[in-house]
Amino acid sequence: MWHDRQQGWSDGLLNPQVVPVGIASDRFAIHRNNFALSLIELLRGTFPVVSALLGEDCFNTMARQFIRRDPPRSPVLIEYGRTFGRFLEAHELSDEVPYIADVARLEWARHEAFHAADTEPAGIAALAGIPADDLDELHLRVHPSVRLVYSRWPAVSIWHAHQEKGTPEALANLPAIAETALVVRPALDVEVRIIADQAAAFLAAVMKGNPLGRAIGAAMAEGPGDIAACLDGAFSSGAIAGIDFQSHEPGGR
Amino acid sequence: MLASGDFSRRPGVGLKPQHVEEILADGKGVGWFEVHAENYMGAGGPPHAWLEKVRSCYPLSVHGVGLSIGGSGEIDRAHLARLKTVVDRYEPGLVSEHLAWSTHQGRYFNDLLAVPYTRETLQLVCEHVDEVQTALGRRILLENPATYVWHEESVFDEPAFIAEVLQRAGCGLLLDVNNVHVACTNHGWDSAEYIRQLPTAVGEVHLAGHAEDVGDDDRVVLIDAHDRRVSAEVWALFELAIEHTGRVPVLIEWDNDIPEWPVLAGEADLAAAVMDRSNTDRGARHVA
Repeated sequence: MWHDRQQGWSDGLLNPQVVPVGIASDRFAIHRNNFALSLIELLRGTFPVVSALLGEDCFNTMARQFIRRDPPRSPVLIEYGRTFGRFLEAHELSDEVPYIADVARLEWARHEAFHAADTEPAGIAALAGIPADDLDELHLRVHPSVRLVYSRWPAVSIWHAHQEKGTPEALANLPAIAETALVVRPALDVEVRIIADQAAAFLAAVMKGNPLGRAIGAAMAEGPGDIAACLDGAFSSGAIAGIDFQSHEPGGR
Repeated sequence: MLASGDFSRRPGVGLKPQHVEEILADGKGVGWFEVHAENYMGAGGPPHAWLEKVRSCYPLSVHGVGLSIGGSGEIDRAHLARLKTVVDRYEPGLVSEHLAWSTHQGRYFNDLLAVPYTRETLQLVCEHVDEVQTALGRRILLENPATYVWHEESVFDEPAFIAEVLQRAGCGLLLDVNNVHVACTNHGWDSAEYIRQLPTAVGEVHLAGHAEDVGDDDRVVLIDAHDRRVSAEVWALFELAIEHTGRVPVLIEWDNDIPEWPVLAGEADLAAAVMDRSNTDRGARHVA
């Protein structure tokens, strides 16, 4: 039966020790190569800074292990690589390069933002004319491309240093501080910016579906700061797509 | 606004993101473009923005690589729905998929794997093609595979199996001339005979480059790499193929080690020259 033969091929593709019965191993190896190499290159395309940080050989080894552990479950390969950060975090490699998983998560956030639904961001003028009494209960609608990435390391600065205008030399002088990235694609270009703890707490609360009053409360709980600037920053970055007066499903991630 | 147009007048090429800006500035006479459906299954972003622009100027073909039509399992309904979304959005003039499998028990292998040619798989492939055509509400083209492995349980040879599928399922053929050359070299078949055995109902022709390797038996193995120019052998087979099919839509595929836009457009010019020469010959014979 074809199903059983297919099972043999499937096992052979996932396990290099297995060759399907009656198939020349050198010919079968072509498929094993196509499978592994095409996905390694796909992952390198999604995680270029992880690849640059680890070097090509080490990245290939990591990618190969990841593909065997967690092969694609959908022909839509845009979705493949979501768990690469988690895989790297659990890998012993993270003992030596502790920030690598966070850089991977940042690159995945950029990838998701790139493919997210297109929506025009709203300006802060959307709040104009709303009675002060209603503001607390108002809901900000987060732009579908918004992602927050937290790192205990300066992962965002490390990522920036590898961009076109970045200087890898700057890596030598990085302070060992935690960073949070706001990833957003207001139009066609994905933007990555480091945001303050207060702004991060505010956006995180909004993304969980909290009304404005409670999101401001969450921001203030982070310590003293300029709440007006926090709100203004959320709008001017393109992270807000609109306002609602009724509760809605949490957006973004 | 969608461009309507004639796919047969000038050859098309596979659309690559890095070429879009240049294409919109100067299409260099390329007649149409083909995209892999799966690359446009994201919700939004730059891929859709650039495809919208190209689509407004050129005829488009949507080529699926992930339906696993030759697989023993059921067609993935969610994936078929995604394909329908792409097709409905871009209204392509041509829609195609592969005579191959790529998914088994929920694992996707990102490769086009060989199907045995038996009564069982004939039934299966026809049912799957029928399901796809019904869901999309249109006829699709099915592409002949580039294979490295022959399933010993096969009872049809490849052209005969393809002819049966076309007749029973009512789909068209996407004749990939490079795949014919690759498969015939790898299995020791006669490529001219292969082409002659195929039905003439060809809806599209693919041309691409292949890589060469050597197997354990010291014999040459060709790999369907899409990473270089079309080879001299494939150009020669292409001439033979269009004698067989007449003037049909022809596409250059180049998916790895992607060249500069003028190099890719130049391959389409070469295909156009072969088509024009062949047409002239035909015309002359008809007059005589």
